[in-house]
Amino acid sequence: MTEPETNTPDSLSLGEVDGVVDFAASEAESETAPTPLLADVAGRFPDVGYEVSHEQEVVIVGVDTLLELAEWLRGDQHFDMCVDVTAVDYLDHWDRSMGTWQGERTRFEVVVNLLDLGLGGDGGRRPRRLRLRVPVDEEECRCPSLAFVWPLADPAEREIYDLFGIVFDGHPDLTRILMPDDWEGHPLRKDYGVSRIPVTFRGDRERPAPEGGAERG
Amino acid sequence: MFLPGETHRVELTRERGIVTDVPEGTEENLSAPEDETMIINMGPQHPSTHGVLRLMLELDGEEILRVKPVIGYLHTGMEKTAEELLYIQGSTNVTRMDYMNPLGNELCFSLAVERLLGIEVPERAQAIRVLMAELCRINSHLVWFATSGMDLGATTVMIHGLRERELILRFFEKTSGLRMNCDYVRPGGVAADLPDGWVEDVAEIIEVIPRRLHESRDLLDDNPIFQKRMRGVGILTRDEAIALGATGPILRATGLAWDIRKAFPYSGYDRYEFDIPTQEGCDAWSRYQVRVAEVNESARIIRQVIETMPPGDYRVQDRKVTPPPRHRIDVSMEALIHHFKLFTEGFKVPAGETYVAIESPKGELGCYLVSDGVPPAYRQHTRGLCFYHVHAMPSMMVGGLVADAVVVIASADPVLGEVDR
Amino acid sequence: MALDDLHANFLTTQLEKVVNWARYRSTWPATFGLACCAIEMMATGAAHYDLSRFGMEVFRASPRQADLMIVAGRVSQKMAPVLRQVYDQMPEPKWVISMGACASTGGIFNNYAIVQGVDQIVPVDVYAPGCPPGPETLMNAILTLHDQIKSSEILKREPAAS
Repeated sequence: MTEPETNTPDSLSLGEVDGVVDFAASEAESETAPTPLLADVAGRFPDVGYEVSHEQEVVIVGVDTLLELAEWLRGDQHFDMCVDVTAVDYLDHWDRSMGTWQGERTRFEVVVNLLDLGLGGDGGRRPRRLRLRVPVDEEECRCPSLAFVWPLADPAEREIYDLFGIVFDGHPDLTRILMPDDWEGHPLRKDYGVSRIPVTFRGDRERPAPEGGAERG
Repeated sequence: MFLPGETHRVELTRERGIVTDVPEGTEENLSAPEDETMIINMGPQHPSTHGVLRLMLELDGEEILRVKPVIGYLHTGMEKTAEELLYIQGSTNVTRMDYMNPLGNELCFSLAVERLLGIEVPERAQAIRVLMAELCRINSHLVWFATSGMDLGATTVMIHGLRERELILRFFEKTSGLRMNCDYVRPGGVAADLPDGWVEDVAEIIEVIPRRLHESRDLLDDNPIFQKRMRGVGILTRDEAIALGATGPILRATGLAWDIRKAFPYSGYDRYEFDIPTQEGCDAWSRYQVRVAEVNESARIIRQVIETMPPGDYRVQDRKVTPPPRHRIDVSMEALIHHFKLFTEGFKVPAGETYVAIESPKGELGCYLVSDGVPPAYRQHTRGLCFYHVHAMPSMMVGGLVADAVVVIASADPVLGEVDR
Repeated sequence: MALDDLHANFLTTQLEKVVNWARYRSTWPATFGLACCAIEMMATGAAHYDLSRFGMEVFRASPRQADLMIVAGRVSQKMAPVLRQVYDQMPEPKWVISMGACASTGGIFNNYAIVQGVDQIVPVDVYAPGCPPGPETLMNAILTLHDQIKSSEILKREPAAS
């Protein structure tokens, strides 16, 4: 079991590390941040992108900054609960034609939904939600694990590993969870077929013989 | 304030994966003979696992040392199937996830689609959705009441719970044509208006069920065996519940009045008055009390729905989203074309992504939907709340007795269709 | 031998009829609930539909004590070996009802995860259609199975393929 590497501030200067997506290039100016929360995030983490998607606040963050941002959100911003971690395979949409931002080519995206129950701090705050979108490169296919920030991420990341094949660094027990252990491939990837079996009927000449001869005469 | 401390968090995480991967048939190699612990396999075919849940338990005598849930025995690939279905077919798919709460699944999916479409359904449709969702909540809690009673050996309770449920299922069948998996709540509204005489039917349901449930409770509440098996068993503190993502009655049984219907109202829930029942015990008993109290609150909401049911359309009158009325097809070419296009090509949803959460009977049910602008959803992910509840079970079980494992499973109320999806 | 010597009533019949009568009047199902259909199976066993009218209310948790497996729900690739093992553990004679569209054909889930019909794993005697089949449909399937058992020949039944 390995502890997740703590990010030193030095390693955050983007551009030094290969393959880092420079989201800041997409005209994200902190002065025009649409909500106070996003303004806070942008002020503290200048290299993250943000948007408001259907009245929901979204932060787009690279894998290098993710852990530090997560710790800050949980600690200072009281996002106590991580409700969900999932992933999307943007195989057919390198340019994110969903109208988000122009980034570099990253095939996968890990999506983290956070919830602030409004408990922390001085109380009496309104509950709020925040979504993190973490582009993950196809070649590396690695993302830091959030299991030590929000324990809920543990099973969710196992599911993503199982269905998408994204490896989470620092995860305590990264094994398949839904599919059998000896399964090959990652079913929810877009290049993994649905594996439809053609529908046939009894008496059909092309109907394949059932395995094991289970049919009774 | 309620945040788990640093060490606590790490411990919680460690605890989860402690019994590592156990392939079939190699269980006995895991425990060395000298440490005198025993690895027990429970499930996937077991009467008390509510389906096909499998647990690996490491025991020291009767005490549970470590637990690892093994899931996936009902993995249906619904998220892959959803990438093939039109939006109008999508609710057929999601309704089979949590089969105790079919209409809630449809509601969550429909709300996500509607948010991407940017439409608001008419008030009558919203009220119908609230009515059906609350009936589903009663339905789910009744089945929980029945099955958890059965797990503890109280067969009478099971018979009672399932008998009461028939009333609701009969109404669902009258409304949508199916007892379960109704496919009634669809993007844009609901599939059909409520049937004639619905007021009387629903009034009977909310009159009969709380009364009979109260009678059935008499069998359990003062029963010393039931109390001893429930009280103080399966403790999950508020810190742990928040850290592990346990929501719904499990979180409310820790004294936290958290309900998405109040926190982020959807589908017009802010128009109705209701309370959030809470308990302080953090144990299986408190969850039982919360669920039973919620049945009464649901009946209260339904009563208000009956009184204030607004007239009007039961779905959006936008021909690009919902089909035209049947009689229009005979007289209008445009209606025919719209109908044909809608059911062959489906409607288009603007590109974008959104996450919508509703309060299902068991907790926060979420739908993360990504559209790329053409009909099959690019990605549709459901936050399976039972998935997280199953993974919160080890924290409830560890340190208890092996007999309490059944109580913990019952009190967490997992539905495996949603765990595995 | 005069009938007067007998001290009790008696009747004559064929052995086959007695055996079949005993079999179909107490078919004990194994609890093999998988998905949505399992809930309807429970509802069938509960008060309103009352499966005990057919001597079948005893759902056995142990496959060793059951002679009917109602496959209620979709069978995933991961569950298939388990299902076969449970079937193999049941003593002969045994019957299988495939309950619902998913168990019979895969239903709407024609994808990588679901076995397209449980008849690929175990021999099925009766298919119950529906998604999920209502309790009436399940009871009809059970009665159909009863008819099959009643008219079966006890010596000629082929053993299930291994």
